[in-house]
Amino acid sequence: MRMQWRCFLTQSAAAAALAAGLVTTTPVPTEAQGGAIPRTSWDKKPDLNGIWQVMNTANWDLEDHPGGPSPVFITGVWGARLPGLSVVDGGKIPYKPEALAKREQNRKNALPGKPGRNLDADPELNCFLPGVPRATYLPHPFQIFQSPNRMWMVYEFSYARREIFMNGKEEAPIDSWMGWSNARWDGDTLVIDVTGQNDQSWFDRAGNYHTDALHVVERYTMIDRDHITYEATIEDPNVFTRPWKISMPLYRRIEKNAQLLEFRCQEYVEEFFYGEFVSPPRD
Amino acid sequence: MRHRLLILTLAAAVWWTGTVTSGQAPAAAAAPFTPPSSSYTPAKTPWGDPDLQGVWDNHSNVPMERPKNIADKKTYTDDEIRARNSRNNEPLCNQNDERCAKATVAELDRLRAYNSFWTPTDYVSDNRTALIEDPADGRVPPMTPRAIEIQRAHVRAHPPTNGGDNDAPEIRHWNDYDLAERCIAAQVPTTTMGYNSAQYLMQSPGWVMLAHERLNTRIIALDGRPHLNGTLGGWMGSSRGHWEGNTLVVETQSFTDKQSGGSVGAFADAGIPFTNLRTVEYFVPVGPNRIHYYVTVNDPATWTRPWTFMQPWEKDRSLSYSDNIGSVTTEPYQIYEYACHEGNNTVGNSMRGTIAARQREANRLPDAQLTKSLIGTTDAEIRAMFGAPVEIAGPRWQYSTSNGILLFYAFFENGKVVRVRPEDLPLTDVVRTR
Repeated sequence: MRMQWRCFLTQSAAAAALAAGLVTTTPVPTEAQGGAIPRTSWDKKPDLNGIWQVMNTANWDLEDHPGGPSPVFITGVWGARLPGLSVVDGGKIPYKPEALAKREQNRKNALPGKPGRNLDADPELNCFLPGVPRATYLPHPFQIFQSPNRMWMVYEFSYARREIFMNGKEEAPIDSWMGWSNARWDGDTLVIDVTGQNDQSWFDRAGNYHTDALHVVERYTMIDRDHITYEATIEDPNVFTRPWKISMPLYRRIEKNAQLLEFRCQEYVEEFFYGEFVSPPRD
Repeated sequence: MRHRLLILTLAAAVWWTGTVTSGQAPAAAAAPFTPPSSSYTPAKTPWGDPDLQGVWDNHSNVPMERPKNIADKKTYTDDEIRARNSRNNEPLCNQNDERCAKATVAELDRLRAYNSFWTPTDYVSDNRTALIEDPADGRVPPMTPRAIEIQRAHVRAHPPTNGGDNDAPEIRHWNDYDLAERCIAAQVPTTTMGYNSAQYLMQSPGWVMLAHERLNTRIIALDGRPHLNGTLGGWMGSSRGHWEGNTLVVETQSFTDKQSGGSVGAFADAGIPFTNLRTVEYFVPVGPNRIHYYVTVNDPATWTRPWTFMQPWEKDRSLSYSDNIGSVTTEPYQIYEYACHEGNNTVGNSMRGTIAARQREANRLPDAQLTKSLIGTTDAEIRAMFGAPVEIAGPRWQYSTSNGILLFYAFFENGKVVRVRPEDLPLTDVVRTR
């Protein structure tokens, strides 16, 4: 019972740190307030290069969620659930009735309370790759690398990463955790079409989920030098009655020395996964 | 590359290590290494840096150290290279292949019966006899007595794991596996990875990012910021780069000492301390699709002088793969998601296997009731006992449970079993589960 708490703590502590400045409504700075949108030298499109992070609690639950005690009592308020407003347009995710029942089941299984590699638990608990859009609103920074024909996004969590093909029509050759990303510019908005995600990732710790029919369209719109409006339209006819949308601001990490640090969480779950299987040394 | 789906047998596939032993050559006085200059000028990025972006493969079969019996020979002739690689062009073994069916166990590996589909053999061209450029003898300089002591202690505590048909040490703890087997990291800087041995080199103003297909993602700041302190650099270390002409120079330090585990792609043997290690990498563009990648390794507490190895990298290659039934696919190299940890059942299952093996040992039956007793039996006798094997790979027969869990291997020579793995499985278990 020891180790799943430690893993849980690592994640919730990071979330708690972020929540200190919790912003629930989105003031939209004008360019005059926040500085002109930086543009690339080669195509004069918005220059998204930099390190970005959300300041919200969407990773706990995309929908409205009150604060609450830690699911593991000995972690006290370190492990408390942080309150937050829904980031879903209209507040609720439009589940089909049978899919909503599965979401409720996921919610019960999210934190199993026992050690082991548990595939019914929240994949974040197992340090599995987060998928899209969850990678964006994990309580970790991520870095965008932008050059003329290619973008990469690298996320601090587990060093999840995406190669993003500009103006390509490459089809996903196979399903994967982070999917297959094709991008284009719609005026000053970067639009990324994400297909080919497997059915293993979740949207949050609250059991919101999808199948391998998931289709995500992300929109990154810079509103000033240090802010991006992030929107993701989510479509999965197996689970939802219609496409739905989340939106939230991304904040540039403006510290002079901002950089991703290693969070190779594979190592952090080893005792959680394998602790019960350790054999003593032979005499 | 399609091999990425096969990570479940990762442990068995870690067949290549950049073996480095403590060389005995006398330490020469070492001048600081500088890479040979290149007359090639690459295109520039819009922001003015040399443009080295793309998928770079460094697949190689050149050993780190020059074999002692060719100490004066820096390169192979074309004929020698052809001879050396010829076995890689032989057709592959399959179960209907008489040549393989007659092979001894020792010959099987040479016939590429097992590892072939993991390991593409179209190496980046390189006619050298060793990766090490400095010292000139192509050998790792001698280690300090203290470092030898540290390394020996590590190896005693963590004997190298192996897989496939070979005897492997008991896996008691996840630390008995190396970093790659645990899906955490490969050593940095990284040499060839055996398979999927390429990386995307991405540039943006002020940054370089190296997305290795297997395991590692490195983010290199070019803006002159200070290194991370202590061991905060972690598995990848703290990397800071700058341009010297068209050469990207990257200095790396502040590794976690846990990086000393060795693994596939390792330039330093397991047990070499990383805490005070500093490396300098030089990415020297020498042609439109070729970089000479030099790494100077320096830790005076470990080696009596710095040393440098070089691997050629080739960009945007088109690769051909053949599978066990001989069909060949050709495609441009594309970096795919590796997702190693997500599918890693090796570590937990090995540890559970140790528990099961010890229980069997504690309740040991007489030899006559164990798989050990199959040694000396004929193929007809085994078939009579357990039916047909699920797979025949040359002289190796594989028996599994009805739902596909491996029970045992039997190895034949001259029509009789000469070896079984494991030897202590109760025969009744085989009958019951098939």
